[in-house]
Amino acid sequence: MRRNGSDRSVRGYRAASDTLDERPSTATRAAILAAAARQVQAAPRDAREPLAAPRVTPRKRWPYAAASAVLLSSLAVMMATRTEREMPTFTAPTERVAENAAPAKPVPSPEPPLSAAAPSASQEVASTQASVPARAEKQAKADPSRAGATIAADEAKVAPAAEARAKEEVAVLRDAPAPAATPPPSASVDAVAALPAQLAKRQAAPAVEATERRRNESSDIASAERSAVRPAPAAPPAAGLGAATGSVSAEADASKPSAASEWLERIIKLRRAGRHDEADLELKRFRESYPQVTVPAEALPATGTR
Amino acid sequence: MNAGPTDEELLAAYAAGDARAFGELYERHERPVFRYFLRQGAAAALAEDLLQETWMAVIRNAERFEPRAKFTTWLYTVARSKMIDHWRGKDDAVSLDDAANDPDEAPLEVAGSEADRPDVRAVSRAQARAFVEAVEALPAAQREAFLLQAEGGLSLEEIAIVTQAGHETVKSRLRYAMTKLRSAMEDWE
Repeated sequence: MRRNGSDRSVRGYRAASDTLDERPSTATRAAILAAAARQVQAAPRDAREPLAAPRVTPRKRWPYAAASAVLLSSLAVMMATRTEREMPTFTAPTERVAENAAPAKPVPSPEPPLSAAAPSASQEVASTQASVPARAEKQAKADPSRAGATIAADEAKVAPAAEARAKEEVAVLRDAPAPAATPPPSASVDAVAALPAQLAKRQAAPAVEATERRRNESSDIASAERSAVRPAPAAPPAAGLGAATGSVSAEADASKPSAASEWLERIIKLRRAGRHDEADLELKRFRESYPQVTVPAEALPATGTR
Repeated sequence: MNAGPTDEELLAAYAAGDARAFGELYERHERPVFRYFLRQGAAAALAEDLLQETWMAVIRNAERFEPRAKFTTWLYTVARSKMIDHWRGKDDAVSLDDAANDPDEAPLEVAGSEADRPDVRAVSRAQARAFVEAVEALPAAQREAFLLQAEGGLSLEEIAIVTQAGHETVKSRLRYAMTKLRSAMEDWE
């Protein structure tokens, strides 16, 4: 009986407690659970929440990074080696132009404003292109690799034209001394005129290097012409294309008597006229001015050598 | 009583790093321990503080818990010590071990494990409040023994361990407490 009474008291108490629904605050509950989570180095989480997905270990990416680094390094070394192999045939265009333009006299003219230099250059390039035969221009344009991959579009136009012009002058010098189509207008044009000599000299080089040299050559010629054109005086913007070209040609005639072919023709005439002393003197001067140009047999003295 | 893992297994899992096991363990005993403090005369705020201190002690000492012992015995031992520590700091402290509140009477058979049969009828809030007040009005030693049995589900022997009293003493305390509470429940019937 007593046991039943005890049970009844306990059950009554529990029922009363459930009715009153006494519980601690959520803050106390959260603090206790957070402390428990910290104790086991886990993130705080409600006990009634479902278990989260297991923590994914971070993906190991360092092998990919190492492989990429090795690959890029190898690629860089290969590119450097290849560039080094191709570099010996390369000569800076500015140096070559300086060599060719050294004997020429600078054209005295007032220094144009910087803004006027650009139109003058384009006009001169245009006049140069106009003097080149259409067939040569077409051939030059048909092979864009000559112009070089890194040259801009305007440079690509200038290079084939200059090369065609150089070829034409070489042909003239080989066949017979003949007057040039257009006299060299200035020191910059003289530098361009000296290029046929280089071309003639290089044609004797082994055929193995021909292709590669031609590629460099085209870009060199273009660069030389471009750099030679830049310092040339510019006509006022109001002046037309013809006026600018004519003034430059007149100045060139005054400073230089003739081109190489014209000079050789005069020497040959002196020989034929029996004026060998004058011819020898002219030949000596010619060789000083054009040491790389081959002198035809008619211009040489009877015992002379080429 | 509780389906699933026992309290001891949950505590062992928590000691091994499973924070969720602690959450489940806390869920089981949060409110009984809180009420244990409330019935002992603590205000709600104080009961929360004592509850937090008790569970912090459990968290800190979880790894040292021996699975052979019963978790509730350990839990209420910690709770009781926290409460005693609190009351010792008060001038009007009342000793829970006061022998004056424990008149020696005939032993009483107590079976706490049979106390939760589903024949508990719902009571009104007023009746519940009246019954709780009757519990709170019990002498401290009797009240403590009763609460350890009703809230913690401890057996007579476990109550003796927690209260550090003799077996017969605990029985006597419970018998007096039940007698007083039965008279309080007569008003319901």
